[in-house]
Amino acid sequence: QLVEPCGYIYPEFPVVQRGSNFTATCVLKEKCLQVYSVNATYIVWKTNHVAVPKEQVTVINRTASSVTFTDVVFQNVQLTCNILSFGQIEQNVYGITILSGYPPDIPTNLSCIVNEGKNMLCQLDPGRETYLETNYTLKSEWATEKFPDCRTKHGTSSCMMGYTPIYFVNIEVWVEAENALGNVSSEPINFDPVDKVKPSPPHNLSVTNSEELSSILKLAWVNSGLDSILRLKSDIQYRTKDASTWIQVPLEDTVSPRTSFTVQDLKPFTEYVFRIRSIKENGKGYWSDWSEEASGTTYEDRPSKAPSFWYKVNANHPQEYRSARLIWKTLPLSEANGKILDYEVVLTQSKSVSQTYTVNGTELIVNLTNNRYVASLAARNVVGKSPATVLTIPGSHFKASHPVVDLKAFPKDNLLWVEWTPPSKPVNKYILEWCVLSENSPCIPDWQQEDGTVNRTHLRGSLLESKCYLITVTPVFPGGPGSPESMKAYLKQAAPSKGPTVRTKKVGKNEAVLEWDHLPVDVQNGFIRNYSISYRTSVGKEMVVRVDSSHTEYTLSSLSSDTLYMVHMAAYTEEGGKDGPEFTFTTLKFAQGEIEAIVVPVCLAFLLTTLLGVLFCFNKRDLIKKHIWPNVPDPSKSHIAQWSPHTPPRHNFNSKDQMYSDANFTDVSVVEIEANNKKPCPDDLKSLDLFKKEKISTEGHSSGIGGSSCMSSSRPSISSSEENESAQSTASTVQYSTVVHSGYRHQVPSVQVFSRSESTQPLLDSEERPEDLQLVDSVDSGDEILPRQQYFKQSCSQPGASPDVSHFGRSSQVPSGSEEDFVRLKQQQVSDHISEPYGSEQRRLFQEGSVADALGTGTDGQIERFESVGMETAMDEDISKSYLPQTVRQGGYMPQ
Amino acid sequence: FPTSQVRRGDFTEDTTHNRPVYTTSQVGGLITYVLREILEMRKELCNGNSDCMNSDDALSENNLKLPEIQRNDGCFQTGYNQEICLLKICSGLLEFRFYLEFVKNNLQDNKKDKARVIQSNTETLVHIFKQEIKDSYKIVLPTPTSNALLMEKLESQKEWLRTKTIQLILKALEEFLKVTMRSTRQT
Repeated sequence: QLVEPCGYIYPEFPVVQRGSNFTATCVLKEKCLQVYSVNATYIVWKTNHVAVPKEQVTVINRTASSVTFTDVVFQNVQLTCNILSFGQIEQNVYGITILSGYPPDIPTNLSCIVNEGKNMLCQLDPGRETYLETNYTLKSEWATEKFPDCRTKHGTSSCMMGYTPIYFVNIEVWVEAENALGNVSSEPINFDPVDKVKPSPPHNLSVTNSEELSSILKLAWVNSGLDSILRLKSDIQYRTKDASTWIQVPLEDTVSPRTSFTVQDLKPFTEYVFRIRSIKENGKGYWSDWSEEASGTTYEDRPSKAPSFWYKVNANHPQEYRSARLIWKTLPLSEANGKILDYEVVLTQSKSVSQTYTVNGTELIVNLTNNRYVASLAARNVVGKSPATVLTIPGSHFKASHPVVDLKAFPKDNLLWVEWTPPSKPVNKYILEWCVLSENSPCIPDWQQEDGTVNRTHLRGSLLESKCYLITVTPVFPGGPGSPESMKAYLKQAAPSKGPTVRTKKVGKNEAVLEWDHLPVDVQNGFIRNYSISYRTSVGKEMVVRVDSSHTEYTLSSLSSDTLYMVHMAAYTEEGGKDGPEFTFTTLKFAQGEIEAIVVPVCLAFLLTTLLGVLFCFNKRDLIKKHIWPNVPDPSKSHIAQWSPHTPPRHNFNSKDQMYSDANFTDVSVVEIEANNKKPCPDDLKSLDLFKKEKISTEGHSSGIGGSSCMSSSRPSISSSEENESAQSTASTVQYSTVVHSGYRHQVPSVQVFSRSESTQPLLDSEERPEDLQLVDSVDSGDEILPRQQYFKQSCSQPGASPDVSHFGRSSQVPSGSEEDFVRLKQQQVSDHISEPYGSEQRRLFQEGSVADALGTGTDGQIERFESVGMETAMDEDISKSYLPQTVRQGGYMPQ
Repeated sequence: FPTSQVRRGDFTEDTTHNRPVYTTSQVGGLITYVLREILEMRKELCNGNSDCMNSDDALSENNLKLPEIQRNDGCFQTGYNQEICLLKICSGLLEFRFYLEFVKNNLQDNKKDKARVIQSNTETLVHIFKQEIKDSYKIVLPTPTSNALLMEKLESQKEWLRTKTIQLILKALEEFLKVTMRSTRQT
């Protein structure tokens, strides 16, 4: 031995039945016990390198240890016996491989077959898997003799006998199975091998047709070699070339042994495929495999049906003729029954003349008169002519009627179906025409014919998805075609390939009118169900509006003004939608007409105001005029001023006198008279009236500025003998000086004339032209001309000033003179700032006036104070200061 | 048992060129490669179990004369003699050639490829070292007759012992190559 281990395991090649117990023993050699200093207690068992638990291990004696496994389930395990040499180092002693499995089952279903020309093959069902190497042996014997055994190859369950089968002698066959765990044998079967025969398939199958009968084919074949010793029957199957299922020739027809057969009831001009197999006549044994297939074509027959027939009339030709295009469809092979050679068209015009055309193609173009024609069509092949189909072509003035009703078109099962309700009149046939609607290409119609009984069909032809088909159904009556009915349909809709292009038609402040065109039919890809408009500002979120498909316009409302909007549209079919390009627009800042609405009223208001102003100015032009053009003093009243240097005592006296005569009157009136004396009331008549009235009216009235001033100024010329007297006396003495100092205030033309006549005043020239006077005034006061002009303007625009109005309203009977007076006072007040020297006097005047006015019948004391002040100023300062220069300048006369 | 004897004249053609045909690192790489293959195979035989890899065998007798480099073969650092050492290496590897054939024949089919790799690479090593030997006739070749006898004995062992033998051969080759590699570094 090359290598001698320290021990062995027994049994060395164990095979264990699954589920049973197994014990192995390791026996060490005496020699090694010494060398490695061990005994059986140092044995370690391992299965697949894993130590076996101690419970399973038994130490038998000094050299032997055993291990026991219960209920073995493992299939293939390595068991090793190891020792711990010197109690420490594990060293391998020996190892075995344990196999486990089952004993063989009794084989069942034993069956044998004899393939023609081969030995007998027997098969069996081995039953449960054994997990062990198992041999199956087929044993066969005659009653008198045994045959060689047949052993199956590993893993197979069939076995080919090693001898040629002997027919017509019964044989007994059984099978024995064996493995490490046991052996069994099956029940024997007893049979005659001839009843297990499977013949070879028939060969040389040929097919021939018959010119006499287009519905038959003759088959011939050669049977297998067994035919010489056995009688075989056949089984024939056939199919048309394109079909997939076979048609069975009844077995009863082929039960008798034969080598030829005639198949009947076939379609003419059709290719058929045949196959054949055979079996022992009594049916025992096995069918042979199918023979090789053979095919043949039946002979032609005359066409069974006329082609679909239709026509088109081109009415564009001259009146007398019309061009008719007769069209028909090639017959399907099943109806043509052969190769169509040509078509025969017979045109008959009103029963008399008939003309025959022979056409190879599928259309015929003929010129027809406007009369009614009857066309008949028949297809022809080698054998004969098809039945004719007749089509009436009505006269050109025929009016079609009776269309089909309720026309519907819908896709179903990937076909486009058309359905209609027939018209009330009996229909010969229907013609269906269809074409793709497109803007790019013309409508090229395809057509098909349906029987008059049909009212539901699908379009036969290759239809495209997402194309719009225009389908027309025309019923054909014996007398001619009825009126057509049309319908649009899609085989399968899809989302549009393009979205609509939206644009604005009108943009307002808060709204925008969008418009778009309907999508061209080529990009619609389906019926547009609706549109959706999406719009958003650059920051805002998107708003979506759905719009019905019939619209081409939509108004977006409640938009913000002056904002950029982005809008795009999508068109939706039932299969989806497609967005169009984005469009941006900006809403207006102002609505249409808004500017106008603001501007026009403003302009109007301005205009109106201006107009009113102008009107007012116009109305009050007299008043204004007075302001602008100062009056020339009335020379006729200048006599009052005569006593101006000496007036104070007289005046006082005078006024007091008057006061007393007026009984209740206060001193105020006296003061006023004084003041006004220097500025005499221009209107004598008016002042007269006023004067009279004042006497009657209330105290308040009499105390009014204007009234009193006028009264006082006019008084001398009216009544009061004393006054008159004194006045006249003064007039005669001092005349010119007075004219100058009070003149420009109250100018009354009538008086003027009068005054002039009396006057010897050298200043007349300047009085007549108030501007000059004013100019002089301004120069005198040392001021510029400009301010003065300003004063005019102001005087014009101020007529409505409130104090004046109130005064006006209260005493309507107050003469204009008084009012003017007041106005002037006001104006002077305004002009105070401008002309200081004037101012002092004027202010005082104004103060007197206003105070008097305000207080009315106010306390005496106050007014008295005014009186005294007024008198002094008027006499001493005003007169001397303001009027003196004028006299000096103009006349060169010195005041007295 | 295999008996070795010195033969002459077998490899004279190889002595004609003396230039080195290998570098130390190349031979080292080749040996390392073979060693790794041997280790892989031993792992496979032990199903990757480390106990199995490391465990020694308790044998009452071991008559396998597997080649082994001894102290007097001039391959160790002390008393290194390149010529003698190369002769020993060549002779030993040539001897292993036969044991490797046994290993290959007794492996399962799926492991035979690995055994062939070890075989062919060992052959290459023999070829390389032979070129270094000046007196190649001194190389000891195993006799075919003794080999045939040995093979018969090896094959006739029980299954478990055959497996044991394979492992012993691989271990011995592993050890032999390790010493060989060390000796090549001496130059």
